Amino acid sequence: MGAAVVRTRLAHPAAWALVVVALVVAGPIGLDAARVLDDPVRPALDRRLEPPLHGSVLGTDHLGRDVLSRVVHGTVPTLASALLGLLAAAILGVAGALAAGFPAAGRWQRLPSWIAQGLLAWPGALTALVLVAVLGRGEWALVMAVVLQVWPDLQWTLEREVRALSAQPFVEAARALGYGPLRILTSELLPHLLPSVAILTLLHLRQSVMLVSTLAFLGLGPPPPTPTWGGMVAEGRPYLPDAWWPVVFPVVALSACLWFGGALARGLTARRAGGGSS
Amino acid sequence: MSAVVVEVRDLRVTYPAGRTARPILDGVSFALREGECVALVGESGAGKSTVALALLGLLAWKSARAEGAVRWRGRPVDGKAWERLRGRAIGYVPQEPQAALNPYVRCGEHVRETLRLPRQVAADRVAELLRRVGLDPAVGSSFPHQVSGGMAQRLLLAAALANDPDLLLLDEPTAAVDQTTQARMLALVRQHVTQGNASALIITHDLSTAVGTCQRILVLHAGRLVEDAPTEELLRRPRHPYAAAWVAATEALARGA
Repeated sequence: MGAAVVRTRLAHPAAWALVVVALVVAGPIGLDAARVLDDPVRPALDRRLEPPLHGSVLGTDHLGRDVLSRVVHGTVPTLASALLGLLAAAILGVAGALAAGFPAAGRWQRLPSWIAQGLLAWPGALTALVLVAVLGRGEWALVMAVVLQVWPDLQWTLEREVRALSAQPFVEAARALGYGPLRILTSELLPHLLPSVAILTLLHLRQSVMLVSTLAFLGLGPPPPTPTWGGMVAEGRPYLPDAWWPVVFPVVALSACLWFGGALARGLTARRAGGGSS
Repeated sequence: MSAVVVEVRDLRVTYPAGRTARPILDGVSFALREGECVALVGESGAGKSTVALALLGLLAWKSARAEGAVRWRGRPVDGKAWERLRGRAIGYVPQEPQAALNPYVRCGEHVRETLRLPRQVAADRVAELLRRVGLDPAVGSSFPHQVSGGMAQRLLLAAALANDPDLLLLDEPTAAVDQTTQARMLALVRQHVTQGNASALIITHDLSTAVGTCQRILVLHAGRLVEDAPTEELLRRPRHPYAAAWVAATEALARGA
């Protein structure tokens, strides 16, 4: 019976997400503690551009730093801003959608909707550049950039969903039974909105990780020597004719991460379509 | 004559442009008195459910534009007042009973939330209400998808009766239930109306429901109230052609069955 419980728990996409997040966060710490990985930031000029499997598993970059160590240590700087921005966008999106999509919403309640429309008509990369100029280089500018990129999409989609939900007979009946707006928001609308929020957020994981990596590639991410996947690609690019490994391995890590996010979203969608067995 | 519970005067309802230019309701006036069961009949699209929405103060929620007045015990009602009336002084049994229950909320909770009592105090009251509508109190712990349409309807009647309302609104209350349950539900409604000095408006297609339960019948046709007459009189001498056709059609159906 214990094994069955473990199996069903592990079959849940959210369980996998937790496992992977734990690995990503704990992995570098554990590997450092075990002294398996080399220092990801200190240059070793006598070991410049060593190919993979010549002393280090994934080779070294133009400053002789271990590529494997930099890929592993680059996980958190790359994903943290993307995930934090995604979370903030999801929270803002839910709040904004509930406000603007609620039936008979007042004019000021429609404000999030208008701002979202404005942002949708504005090139996102430009927003990011302005943000870096204002907030300076670093994680917070990236988080804000992700929020401004993802939130309008979520607002747009979730607002429609709130409207559709509000037309459901049980929401109308709740109103007729005398429940106040707050009770309707928390008990009739929010629980039915959350599955869509989870799936939409995961679907935007790709977009936000790509945005953060692109900005890092353009040199707008955390300043060196902090490793990020996008930054590693940028640093390795001039040496590409001679050494492919400093560029290819961060891209592989990025792809693996995006694939995982996509698989998670597909898993959740399938569960939802199948009615779920939770 | 007994006191008026709610009065609708010259109600005109239109939906914002894009739907129909024609008003859903036009010049509808009637009053519901204490101790009175009234049937509201009419073909689909005649505006019956819109009347129910008007009596619940929910037209604004549906983005409909309403003119005219609804007076509760002689006083005009505004937004806040509607919120106090709904679920307390007005009990409502919606159409499509199963869709009207939040799928994530247990059956008993629906009744308890209408009572607005803390969980521990409410348990006995909920069980009593469920028994009153002929449901096993154990049904309270099931989820809406686990009960039948008829059970859902009785559950909603229990919720509607929970606060001893002055006005009971029932939208097609007998569509999903069998004959015995139907009779039992209507008997409960009648009993509540006579004992509690309440009033009931029953929206129905079914002549037998209207005739057996209601003293008065309102006939709605294309958004206008074309008849407002005691049941006997309407059956004997329907004035409007649509009402005559309705009586003839339903009687023919009853003979055929």
